[in-house]
Amino acid sequence: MSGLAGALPFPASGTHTKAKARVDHRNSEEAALVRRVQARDEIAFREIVERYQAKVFSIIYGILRNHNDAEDIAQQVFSKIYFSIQNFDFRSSLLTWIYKITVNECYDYLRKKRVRKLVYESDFTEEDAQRMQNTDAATDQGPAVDTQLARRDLVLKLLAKLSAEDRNLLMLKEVEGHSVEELSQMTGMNENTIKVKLFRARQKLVKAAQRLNRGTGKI
Amino acid sequence: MHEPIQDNLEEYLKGSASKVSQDFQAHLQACEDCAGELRDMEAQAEMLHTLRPGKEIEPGAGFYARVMDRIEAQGRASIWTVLLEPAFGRRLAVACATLVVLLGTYFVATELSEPMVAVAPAAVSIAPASADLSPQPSSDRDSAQQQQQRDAVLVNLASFHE
Repeated sequence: MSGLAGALPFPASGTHTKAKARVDHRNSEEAALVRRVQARDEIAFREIVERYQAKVFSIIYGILRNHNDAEDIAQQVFSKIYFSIQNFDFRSSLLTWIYKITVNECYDYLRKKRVRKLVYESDFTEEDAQRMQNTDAATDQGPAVDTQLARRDLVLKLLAKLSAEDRNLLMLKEVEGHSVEELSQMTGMNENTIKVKLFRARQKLVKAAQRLNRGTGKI
Repeated sequence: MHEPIQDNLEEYLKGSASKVSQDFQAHLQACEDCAGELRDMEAQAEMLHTLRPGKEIEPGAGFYARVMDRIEAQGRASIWTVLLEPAFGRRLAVACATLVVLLGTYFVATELSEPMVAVAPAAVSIAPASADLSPQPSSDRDSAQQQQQRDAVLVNLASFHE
């Protein structure tokens, strides 16, 4: 996770700054397992697959909602892990690294396949705009299935506008439900940096949504 | 978005209203822009929750074996697919073009430096006369060249008469 490790310099802001012991990702049981895989120990790799397969499947299913696609992408994710684990640098947790690979694979898949159901800016229609209008939190009284789908499609599309780093951080926070403190431990960045990055990612998401709404005539 | 809101944003979005400072609430009531932006961020956080899988999904039996099959297939294919990669293809095309240009230049240069004897036998047939009239035995190399030219002229004359 070399991208996430590029911490922004940010001054500590008084009451919210806590001195947390940094998690050393180099000297954990997980790190030992990774080193074994790096040494091409297939039993260790099998352990990684068995340990994370349900997690990877759940992440993919959350994004794509399709079991067949989930199986195919999950295989690809573990294949990527196998071939690129030599580059894992222990700056983040293994789960954070796997999460990043998984989400990137999902977005690669969506980009390549250009699934019809998924809304892309180029083929955004009036009907889509109407569906989006129904997704405002204020008017959302028990969302119907198609409204839920529209919301998911829209948020996936908006997330596609962010960098992979911003997207992963925001998803780890909002989708996986990790706290700022946990994110700090997972990524090796301090809590204030995480907060600043999350804030900027949220701002970019808001701006992307505003641009989209302007483009479809909805203010 | 102003500082009091930005500083407490994550606590607020997490739903920890009690942890949010009084500055936050006061600023939110006073600043319309911040209130609007916060509403947007809240709505988006809620939309992001739709990506939660809801339940843990387990793969079908034999998943590890299928992963290893794919790894094996990709490892095997990677040696040959490198030839089909666009970047590699471009490099190969550039290398071929460079080679053709170099070979072309070499052949043109070689052809220009060769004596014209074989091309125009009639014209060259005059040469021995002038060569005999003004011999230049300045060096062994020159005499060897002259000898070579004479031989060439003889060959040309022989073939001309035939």
